Amino acid sequence: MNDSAFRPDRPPERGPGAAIRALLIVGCFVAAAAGAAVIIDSRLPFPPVPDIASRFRYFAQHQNEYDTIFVGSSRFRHHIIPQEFDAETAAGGVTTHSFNLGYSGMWPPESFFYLRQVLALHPAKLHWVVIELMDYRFGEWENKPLTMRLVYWHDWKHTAMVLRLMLEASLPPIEKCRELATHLRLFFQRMLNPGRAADWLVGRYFPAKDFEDSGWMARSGFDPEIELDEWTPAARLELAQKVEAVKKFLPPQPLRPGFAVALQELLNDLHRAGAEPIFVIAPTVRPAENLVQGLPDGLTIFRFNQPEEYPQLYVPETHYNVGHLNEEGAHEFTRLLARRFAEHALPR
Amino acid sequence: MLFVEFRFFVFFLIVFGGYWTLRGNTARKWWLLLCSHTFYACFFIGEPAEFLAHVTHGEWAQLPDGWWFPAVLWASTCMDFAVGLGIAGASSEARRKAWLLVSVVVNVGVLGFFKYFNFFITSGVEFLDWFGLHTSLHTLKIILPYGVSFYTFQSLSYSIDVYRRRLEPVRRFLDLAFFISFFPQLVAGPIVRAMTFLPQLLEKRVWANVDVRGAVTLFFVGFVKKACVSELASQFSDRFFAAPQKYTHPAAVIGMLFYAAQIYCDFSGYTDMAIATARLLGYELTLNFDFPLFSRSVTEFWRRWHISLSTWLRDYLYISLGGNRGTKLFIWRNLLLTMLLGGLWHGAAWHYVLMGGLNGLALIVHREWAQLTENAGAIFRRVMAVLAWPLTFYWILVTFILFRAAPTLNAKTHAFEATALQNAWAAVKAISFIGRRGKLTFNMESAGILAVLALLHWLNFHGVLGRWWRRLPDWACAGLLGIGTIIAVLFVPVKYKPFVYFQF
Repeated sequence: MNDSAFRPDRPPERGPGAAIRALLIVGCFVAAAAGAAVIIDSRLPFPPVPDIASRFRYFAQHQNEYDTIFVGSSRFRHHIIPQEFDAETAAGGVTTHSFNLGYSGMWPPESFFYLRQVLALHPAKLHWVVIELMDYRFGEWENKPLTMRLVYWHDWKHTAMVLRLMLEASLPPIEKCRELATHLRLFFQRMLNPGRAADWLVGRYFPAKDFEDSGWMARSGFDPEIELDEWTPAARLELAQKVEAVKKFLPPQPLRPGFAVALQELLNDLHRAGAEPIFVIAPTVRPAENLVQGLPDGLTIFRFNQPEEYPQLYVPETHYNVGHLNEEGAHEFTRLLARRFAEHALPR
Repeated sequence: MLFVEFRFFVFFLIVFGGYWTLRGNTARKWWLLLCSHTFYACFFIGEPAEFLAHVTHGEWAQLPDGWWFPAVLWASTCMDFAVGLGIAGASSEARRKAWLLVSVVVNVGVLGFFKYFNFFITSGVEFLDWFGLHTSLHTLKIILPYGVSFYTFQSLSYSIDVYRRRLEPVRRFLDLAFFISFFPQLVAGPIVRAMTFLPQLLEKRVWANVDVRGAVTLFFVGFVKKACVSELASQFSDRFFAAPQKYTHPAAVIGMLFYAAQIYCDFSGYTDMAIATARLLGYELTLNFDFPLFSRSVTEFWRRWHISLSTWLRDYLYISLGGNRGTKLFIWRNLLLTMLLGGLWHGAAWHYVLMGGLNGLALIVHREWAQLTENAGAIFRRVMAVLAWPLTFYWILVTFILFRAAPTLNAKTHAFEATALQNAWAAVKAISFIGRRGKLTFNMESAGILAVLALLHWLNFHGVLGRWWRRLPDWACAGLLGIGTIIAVLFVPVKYKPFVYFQF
């Protein structure tokens, strides 16, 4: 490139108005860039997040088949078996055809973003949305390698949600600054979509041959957890101790104001889409997850974090670690969830 | 810190803001010197807090490799400053020559040690092995300081120009240190001559004289070339060069054309950004690429490709060797030697020497051919006018192949393997439609990408894009650059780490 090719013919402007003019030109640049970024971002397909994108695409292709979806973390992904859920609800007098969109580590705001993407597809039959109720966890993104998974949900709405929660939190100022910097960086990365066209071109000319497990398709999104070696006697003892502690004392946890607002906004979006939300607290022995104080009015919540009411979900035989159920536990949990669901869904 | 990295934009905003806020010329130069060394440090310092902690605790062994690189840069600068003053104050021609010799020996010595020591040792051992003379010479663990090939040439240009009385020696150390370490050209050129740059330091730069629009556009074009086109083209060329013999002849041509685009856009894009960055600070750097792929002879190609290097070699090496004076054989020797050393400058490997040698031979052939056909008839001239570009372009492609024909070292046998050279030969045959054709091919749609790139380059060569751009009002340029930047970012490949599932 000849470096003088783009030099303008006229001499540079001088004088008092030059600074204002320069600012206006910079404004033009910023406005055009921001406008282009927003337009392009709104036109791009779902980001290529490993595993999550394939589930989303699959659902998008079959969106009009399902009337019930599950959105949550690994405690949905590995714990809810849609076929069994449908059979159980049918036995209870309610017909459902459900799909499990849960994925490991999918907490708010990611789960909220993901759910909104699903709603944006306008699934014709969607009636029930079962959402795992979890709060945002600070610091989970700190010092983690940059992955598409971290970036993809940082649109303006969900970044704002995180920033509000972060500002409300009682974190040291330095931590807040770090969180702020991290999320703003991820937001810009998300909005600029670097590499999306390059990925598309490379994928078009050199399709990847990487194997991605797609067994979940036949199971409507359910993924049984492969048994790990971590279910040691010590871990079993830990579960037993935590269960006993929860049985003795399970204080209600208040929703943070920012989270309550975000939850209300999600509820509004769901109602606008004609869907009925059901929130679920999955089986857990973490008292911090007992989010029952300050919930929006009229919110339907199924609480499975009560060992006394659901003892079968808190015995070592149904777990593969302290926080997760094994396949036997998944069958059990799915049946219990379906029964609660059918009771709730049956016209009174 | 590369010009295409996000952190460079943050860095440059600070540099730019600080520079134009300062009033005095000296203060500005100190500021840029500080910024240049910060920029340089970013290449090897690692985590700054960690680096400082190691320094304060005296944990020298823990410091990242190359933490001492600035010492080489400073030593080179100090030495040339002393040489400049020494030459100016020398009472006799012999003393002047002695001072120059110090500069040449030290600068070439630094370059030779860091860049070529291991190359000559391993080459010597291999050579002796051929004769059955097994030696136990060992290579050293040498890390090449960033930019050493560029700043030693710049330092040398200063000493030689002072010696040739073309330049007054600088009296202020700051000026020379600034010239040698000026960050836009420090690590990858263009090789700036003291004669053209030092006079710019005498006067305070005036913001009103800065061609902001031209500079920003040039930076954008350079960014697109380096970060988008070059990276995308490498997807094709890397696959082709992995097994050139497996590709069909048309696919080989496509692979090779992508490689030409990659190599040209990578290097020229980077220097475009360097020139633009310097221009935004009020300084002009040397033009480095002038549409070399449209050259109609090898001689013209070397006048348009990496101009700052070829003119440096011409002025300080070729002319010093005797240039065009003397017998034909003498001129040929000068040409060949200059190009061989020019090849070696690109890297410490024989394939670079071979590339230089082939280009030297081509320059000799072209020189003789031009003289031979000087009085040729009109028809012959017309035929040659048609053939000149394709023949030159073909030759450029062939020599480009040698750029990546680096022999690989077998970790077990410690011997060099000729796979890369074999691949290079296979690539030459494939693009020449010679030999057995393979079965692999590229999606022929990719030829469309090449066509678009070629068309844009051709339009720019003929000034069409430039003319159109110059007619636009500033606000429209700013808007288009804003949109263009967002689109360009879409094409910048991002290496996301593989998904890491974090347990909770």
